[in-house]
Amino acid sequence: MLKTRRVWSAVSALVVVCVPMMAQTSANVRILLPERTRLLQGQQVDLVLEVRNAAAVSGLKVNAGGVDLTSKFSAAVKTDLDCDSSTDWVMRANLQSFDTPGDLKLDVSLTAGSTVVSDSRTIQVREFHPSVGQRRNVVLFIGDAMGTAYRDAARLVSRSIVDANGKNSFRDGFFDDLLEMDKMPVSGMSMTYGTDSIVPDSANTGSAWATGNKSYLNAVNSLGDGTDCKWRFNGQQNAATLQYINDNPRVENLWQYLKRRFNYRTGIVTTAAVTDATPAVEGAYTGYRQARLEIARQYLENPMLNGRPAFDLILGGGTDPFTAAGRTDKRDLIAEFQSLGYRYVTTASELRGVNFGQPTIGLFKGSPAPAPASNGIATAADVNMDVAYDKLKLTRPASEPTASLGSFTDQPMLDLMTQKAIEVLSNSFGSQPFILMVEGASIDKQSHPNQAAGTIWDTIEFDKAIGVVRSWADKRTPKDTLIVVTADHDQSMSIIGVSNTPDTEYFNRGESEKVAIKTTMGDQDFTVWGDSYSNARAGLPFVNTSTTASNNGGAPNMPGTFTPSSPADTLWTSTYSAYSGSPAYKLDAATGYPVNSGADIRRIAVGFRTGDHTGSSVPVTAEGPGAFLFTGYMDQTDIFFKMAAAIASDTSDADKLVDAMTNSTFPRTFGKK
Amino acid sequence: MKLIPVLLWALLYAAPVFSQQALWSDPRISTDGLKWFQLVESESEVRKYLGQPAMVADFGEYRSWQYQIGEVEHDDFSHALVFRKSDGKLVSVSRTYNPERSVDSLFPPSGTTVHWFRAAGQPDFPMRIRRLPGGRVLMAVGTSKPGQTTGQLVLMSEKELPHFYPWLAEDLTVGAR
Repeated sequence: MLKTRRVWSAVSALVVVCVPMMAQTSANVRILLPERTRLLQGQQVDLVLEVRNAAAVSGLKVNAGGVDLTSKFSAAVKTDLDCDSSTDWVMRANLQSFDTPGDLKLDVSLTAGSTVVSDSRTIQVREFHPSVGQRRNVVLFIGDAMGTAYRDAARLVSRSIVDANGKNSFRDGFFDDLLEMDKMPVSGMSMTYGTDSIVPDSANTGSAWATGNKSYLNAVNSLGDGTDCKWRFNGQQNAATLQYINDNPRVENLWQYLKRRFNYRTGIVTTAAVTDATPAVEGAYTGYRQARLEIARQYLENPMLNGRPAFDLILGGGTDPFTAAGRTDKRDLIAEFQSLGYRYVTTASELRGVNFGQPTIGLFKGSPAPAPASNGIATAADVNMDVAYDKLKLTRPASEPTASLGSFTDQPMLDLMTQKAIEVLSNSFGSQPFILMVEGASIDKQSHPNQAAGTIWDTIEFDKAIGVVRSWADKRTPKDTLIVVTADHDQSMSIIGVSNTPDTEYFNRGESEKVAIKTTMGDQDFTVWGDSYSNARAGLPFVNTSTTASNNGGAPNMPGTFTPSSPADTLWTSTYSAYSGSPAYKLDAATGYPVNSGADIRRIAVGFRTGDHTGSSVPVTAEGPGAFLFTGYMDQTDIFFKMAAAIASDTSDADKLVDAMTNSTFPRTFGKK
Repeated sequence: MKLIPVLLWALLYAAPVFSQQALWSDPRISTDGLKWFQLVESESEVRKYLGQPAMVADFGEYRSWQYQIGEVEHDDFSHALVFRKSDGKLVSVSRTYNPERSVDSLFPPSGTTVHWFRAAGQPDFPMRIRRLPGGRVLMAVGTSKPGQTTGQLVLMSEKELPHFYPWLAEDLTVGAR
């Protein structure tokens, strides 16, 4: 009996080992669409089939909900998939769409060598049919990395203002006036996981809300495929692998969908380079976010729009990939935009002069001498606009770099860019509706190096831009503009208290100490500055001298408990001071922003666990027609379908309910005016 | 005579100052030639040299280890190392430099050839190539002559080239004939 069991165990083990091996070597076909593909009626997508381990391919049959699509597919092209030694094939039917709402079964079968193989997907096709006369604008605000702590920090800094009489606008735990984004009536949370990682980046999260479908890290509106092995995992993204970067199946985003099918005007506003990932997902399709030259070209010659420009308005940084000097093909894309009737502006002063609906491209920062990168697919530099803190000429804390705007001293703030964007997009002769994305980019970019002042003031700048659109939309009759505010992903900043670090320490660049901790488990090197009590850095050890177990003390050698290595060592009892009271800032009346220095300043203290993104969910707030759709926990791809539903559905009953909720006798939070 | 023991002591004493990661993150030139990965290393050896990778991903017959060492844009990796899953051996190392840098010292004119990737509608794209002992190929991506900087240095087993750079594999085969 025992022997029989052993034999069966051995056979079972053999089966377990062999089945995956057999699966790898047997012929198969795969439809390159995710298991949970969702599309709008008429939304374009590349249908791509990969056949592996087949000497030849014949007899293709593709059926989609009873419709024969076989003739749409190209002949099979021999392709090396997975960088292995097998014989593989690819067949494509680019830019297909489905018109009938409902669950649609896509069935594929073919003969691979001598074997008949098949695959199928169920695609959810969602209705999109705006009623006659209903024209709705959408403004989507993306605070890059603006998780809850970032919103909290912006609120605590910009709404804890002490006036000339010493009265703090944040008293007893209540605010006189909340952030603009706090005042929006509907809130939810968005889960931001990608297909290959719970910690996503701006490209695949952007693809989620721009197309309604998830993808992998660094993907811009593209799905993974079998040639990714040639560039994606081995770090070899260059002109010789570009064909494999750009062959990934594309999914049309909402910007091109609305322009192509409903003549919407489209725009992007960002404080990053305009070819950065978050703006790129509104206008380009590529497997790799850093293919900047291709992204810029697609803004001019968009593949979903039969080669027409993707946008009526582009405002941001990053001139380089639009210049002949910065491109390997030596095309001057700015001149080509201008020849199509676009106005081109480069400074805040010029932007202020923009006041009607002519298509506009504004690029406010670039390299002094643009050049292509040696990889042949990007520029040598990606030049983002400077951050709000530096544009406001505030003094940086000691641990953050001093500002250098170079020759770009007249860059617009995000609220001006947003104001001009809605003026341009709404002021068209045809009274077309518009869809606009506005990004506060350096909330993320300043958080990566743990620069608290940079990231917080950028969030405040972002909130002011939200205020511009809220004010504009509020004046419109009927209320025709949906405003959605969210983040693409979170980062690791937390609010850890209030610090009483005096200016003399906070700004003192002459006092710092390098610390090196070398252990067999790994080394850490960092510099401790005088502002460390206000801005606790990633890597800086949290020192805990508590002896109670509930404070993680008491037990020797647990995380956070340190014993001085010599009696002469000074032991910190904390990495910040928990100040009894509230933060207190002063307002610069000229700029409308809080200042970060002065005798009576009490700053918030923040800590960073890492210098990177996290997998935490991010807040969503919404206002305007259809806003009620954005309540509760949602997947990030739902944002795409909710924006579409707000445009195409009669939401009037629910909108009245939201209005009653905020403008009647129901309880209302202090500070929501 | 006393100088030699002193120098030896100094060298021994200084050795731990150079971490394994610093020694292995870039190729080094020594009197014996170019010192870097031999492309026979196992995952545990690489972990010893470079530490724990920031990201690990499986693809087909390969596994990728990606690192962020030194100055690198936060969305990019400084190193991508590819192992063959069947035998666990290293097959390629991609070193990304941001900002770009000169690698001329690794490509002496006598042992270096230049190869061009050509595709319709796309500017020709160069690579400087140096064949190394052990069937390895060192590639300075996007450069054709000394003085040009590169953002990518690739070390790859020549046997793997047909999967990743078929045009280059063909070029080298023709050149070898």
